[in-house]
Amino acid sequence: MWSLLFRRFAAKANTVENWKKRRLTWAITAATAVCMLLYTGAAAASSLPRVMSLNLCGDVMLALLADRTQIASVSYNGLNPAFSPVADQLAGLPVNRGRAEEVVAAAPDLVLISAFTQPATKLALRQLGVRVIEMVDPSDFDAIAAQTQSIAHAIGQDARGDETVAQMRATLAAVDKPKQRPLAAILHPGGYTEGRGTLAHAVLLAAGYDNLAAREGITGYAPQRLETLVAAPVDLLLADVTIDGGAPSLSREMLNHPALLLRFATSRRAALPSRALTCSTPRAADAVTALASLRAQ
Amino acid sequence: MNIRLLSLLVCAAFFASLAIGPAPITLGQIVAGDPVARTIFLELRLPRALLGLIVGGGLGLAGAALQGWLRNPLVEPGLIGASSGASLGAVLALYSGLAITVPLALPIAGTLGAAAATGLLWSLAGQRASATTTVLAGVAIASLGGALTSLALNLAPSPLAALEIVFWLLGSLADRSMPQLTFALPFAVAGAVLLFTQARELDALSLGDETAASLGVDLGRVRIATVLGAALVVGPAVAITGAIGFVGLVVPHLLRTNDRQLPSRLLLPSMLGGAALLTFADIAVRLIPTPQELKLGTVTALIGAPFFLWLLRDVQRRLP
Amino acid sequence: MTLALTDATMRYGKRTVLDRVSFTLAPGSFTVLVGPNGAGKSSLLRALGGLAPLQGGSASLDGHDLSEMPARERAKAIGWLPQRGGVAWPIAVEQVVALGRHPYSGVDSDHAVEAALAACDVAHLAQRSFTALSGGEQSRVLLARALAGEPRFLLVDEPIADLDPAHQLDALALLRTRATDRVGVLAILHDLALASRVADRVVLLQAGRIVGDGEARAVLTHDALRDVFNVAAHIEDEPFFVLPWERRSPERR
Repeated sequence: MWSLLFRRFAAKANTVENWKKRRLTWAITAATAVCMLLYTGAAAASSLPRVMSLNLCGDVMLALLADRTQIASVSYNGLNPAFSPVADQLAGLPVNRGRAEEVVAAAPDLVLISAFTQPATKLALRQLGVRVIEMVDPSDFDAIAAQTQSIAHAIGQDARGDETVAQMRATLAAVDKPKQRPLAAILHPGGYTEGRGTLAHAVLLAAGYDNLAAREGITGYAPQRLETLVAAPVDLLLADVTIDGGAPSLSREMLNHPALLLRFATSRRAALPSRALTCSTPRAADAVTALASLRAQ
Repeated sequence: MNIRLLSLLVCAAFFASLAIGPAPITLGQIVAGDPVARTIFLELRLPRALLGLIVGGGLGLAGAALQGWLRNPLVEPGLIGASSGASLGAVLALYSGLAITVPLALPIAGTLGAAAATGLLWSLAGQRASATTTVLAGVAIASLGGALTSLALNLAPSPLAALEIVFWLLGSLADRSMPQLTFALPFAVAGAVLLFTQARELDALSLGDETAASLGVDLGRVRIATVLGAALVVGPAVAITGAIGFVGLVVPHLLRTNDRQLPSRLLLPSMLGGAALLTFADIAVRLIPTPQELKLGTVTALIGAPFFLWLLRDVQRRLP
Repeated sequence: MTLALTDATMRYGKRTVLDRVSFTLAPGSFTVLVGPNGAGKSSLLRALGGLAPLQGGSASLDGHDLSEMPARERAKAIGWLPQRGGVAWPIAVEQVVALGRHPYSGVDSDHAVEAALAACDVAHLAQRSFTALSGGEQSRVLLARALAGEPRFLLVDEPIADLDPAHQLDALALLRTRATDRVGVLAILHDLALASRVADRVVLLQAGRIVGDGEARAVLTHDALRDVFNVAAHIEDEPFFVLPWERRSPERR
C-alpha cells in the first residue's frame, strides 16, 4: 500500500511543469520516503506481527500466547466476564465488533477469525488481501495442542506456545484415574446437553466421568429429554448456570424444575464450568481439574 | 358425539397422556414408591396431562363463547389476537423479572394481555362488522402481538430470550411443572364459570344486538363478561404454555351438529372436545420421532390452518 | 297502562331525528306509524322501546322512565321487532321463537311458543332450520318470536315487507287481533293502502315531528299525502282506503 502511494506521488511529481512546484513536490516526496523508512524500521525492530482477534476464542488464544503490545484489538465478547475466562487480562485493550472496516482501520498483520465469522466479513478480508487464520473448535486435547502451537508460530511466540501446551498436558496428567467412573449429565439452558464429539465430552472423560449423553448415543450439542435425565442413574448434574448472568428466562426456569430439584439434591448438582468450555483452548484443562476435584467430594 | 362420549374421550386422552413418555416407568413402580418413578410421574407426567385438559378445555370453551358473542364462526382466541396479547403480557412479566418477585404477576399479565387484545378487536371490528372484517382485524392484532413479543424478547436482559420466541409463538406442554399448573388453574376455573353464566345471553345475541337488547340483554355486561372470561381462561394458560392456536376454531365447528347450533349448547361440548383434542395432539407430539420434540402449536396449526381456509370459503359462500 | 314519549328529542351527531316528539300508545289499539324515508320512524320506535338514548325528553311505561327500569321488566312488557332481523346460526324455527321467552328465563315457555307458532302459521316449520326458509317464512318466524314474549306492547318495524299478499293480510289481521286483546300495537308500514285499511289510528311523521295523529281518514288527506309523501292518491271513503297514484310536488306554503 505504501509503495503504491509512493509511486503515484513520484509519477505526479514528474508531470508538474512549473519548476518551483516541481521542486516543492520532490521535497514532499523525499520527506514521505524518510518517514516510511523510519516507520518500517521501527516495525522491523519490534518484529512481532500485530494481531487482531474478531471473536472470543481468538481473544483467549491471544491472552494466552501474545505479548500485550502485539495485540491490535480484541472482540467485545472477550471483555465480557460472563463468558470470557480472560476478561480481566484483556481489560484496557482496544475493542472491535468483528467488522471488516475495523480490520482495515487497525491494519494488523494477522487476523484471527472463526468458522462463525460472518461470511460477508470473511469475503471482505480475503478481497483486501489481509492475512487470516480461521480457528476451528477441536473437541480433543491433542487437536487443541496442535492449533495452539500453530497460532503461536504464526504470531512469533513459539516458545510460549510450547510452554502453554506442556502446562495443559501436565494438568491433564495430574488428574487421578478413578476405578469406577461416576455418571455425569450436562444440562444447558433450554434442555440441551453435549454428546460425543464435543469438547465438554472430552473434558468429562478426562476428569474421570462417564457422559450420560454419550451413553444414550447422543452426538454433538443436542436436546436432552428431562424425563430421561431424571430416570437415569446420574451421579452428578452439571447445570450451565452462568451463561445468562442469572437473568430470568424459560431456560433458566427449566434448570429449576421441581423434578430436577427433587432428583438432584445439592450434593449432586454443580455448576458447569462453562467459561472454560466455551472455546477449545488449553484453558479447558482448568475445567478438567475443577470437575475432577468435585469427584473427590 | 354426545356429552357422555366426549367425557369418555377426555378420560382416555388423560390416561394415555399419563402413560406415554420417554422414561420406562410402570404403574407398579409408582405404587411401590420408587422415588424416581414417582418424581417423573408427579412432577412431569401429571402436570403435562392436566395442563392438556385445562388449556385445551379453556381454548375450546373460549372459542365457542367468542364465536357466539361475535356471531362469527371464524373467530377463536388465536385468530383474534388474544393468545398473542397473552404471550406479550407473559413475556413482559417473565423476562423483566417481575414474575420472580410477584409470582401472580405472570398469570395476571397474561390475562391483561388477552383482554386488551380482545377489547381492541371489539373496538376495531365491533359486532356489526362482517365475518371477514373481524378476522382481518384479528389477524392484524395477532401479528402486532407477535411482533411486540419478539421485540420484547430481543430487548430482554437474558441473552437466551431471543431464542425462546418459538416457544411463545407456537406453544408447548413439555416439561411444565405442578407449581405452574396450580397458578393457572384458579384463573381458568373463574373464567370458565364466567363464560358459562353468559350462555343464555349468547343465545339471545343470535337475533342481533338490538333485538337482544329489547329482550333484556345488557350488551355491555355481556361484552365485559365474555372478554374477561375468555381472557381468564386463555391468558394464564398461554403464560405457561405459549400460544397454541386453532383449537378454539376446530372444536366448536366439529361439534356444531344440527342439535347444537345455539351457542349455549356448544359451550360444554367444546370444552370437553378441546381438552381431548389438545391432549391427543400432545400425545402425538411425543410419539412423532423428530430429533427435537415438535412444538404443540405446530401440530394444531397443521390441522387448524387448512381447516380455517376451508371454513373461510364455506362461510363466504353462505354469507354475503 | 300506557307507553309514552314525552317531548323526546334524539340526535345522531348533528342530525336531529326526533324533534320534541310527544306520543302515547295505549293498549287495545292498532296504531300505524307512517312517513317518508328518513322521517325518523324507526328512531321513534327505538325510543319508545327504550333501545336508543334520548338527548331530550323521556320515554316511560305507566309513568316509569324506561331508562331506569330493570331491563327484564322492560323486556317482558315491550316486544320489539326490527326491520331487517336475522339469525346468526342455522337454528331450528322452534328455538328461534323460544328465544322470545328470554326475559322469562324459560318459565312457562312451551305454551307461549306453540301459540305464537300457530298464530303466525309456521307451526309446520318448527323443526326446520331457520336459514333454509324463504324470506317470507323467515319474517313470519321472527314475528312469532316477538309474539312469544307475550308483551303488553308490540313495536314492529315493517313486519310485512317480505310477505306475499295472503300472508300480508294474515299478519295484519293477527296484529289487529292482538290489539283487541289488551295489547298496544304500533307498526311501521310503508304500504299506505294497507295502512289506511287496517289502522285504528295513524300517526304521520315528517322530519322528526308528528304532523298528524288520529283516525286514518282524518290524517291521510289529499293535502297530507301531497305535502308529506309527494304523491297524489285515490281516496276511497267507504270503506276508507288510500291508493297512491302518481308523483306530485308539494304545494308551496
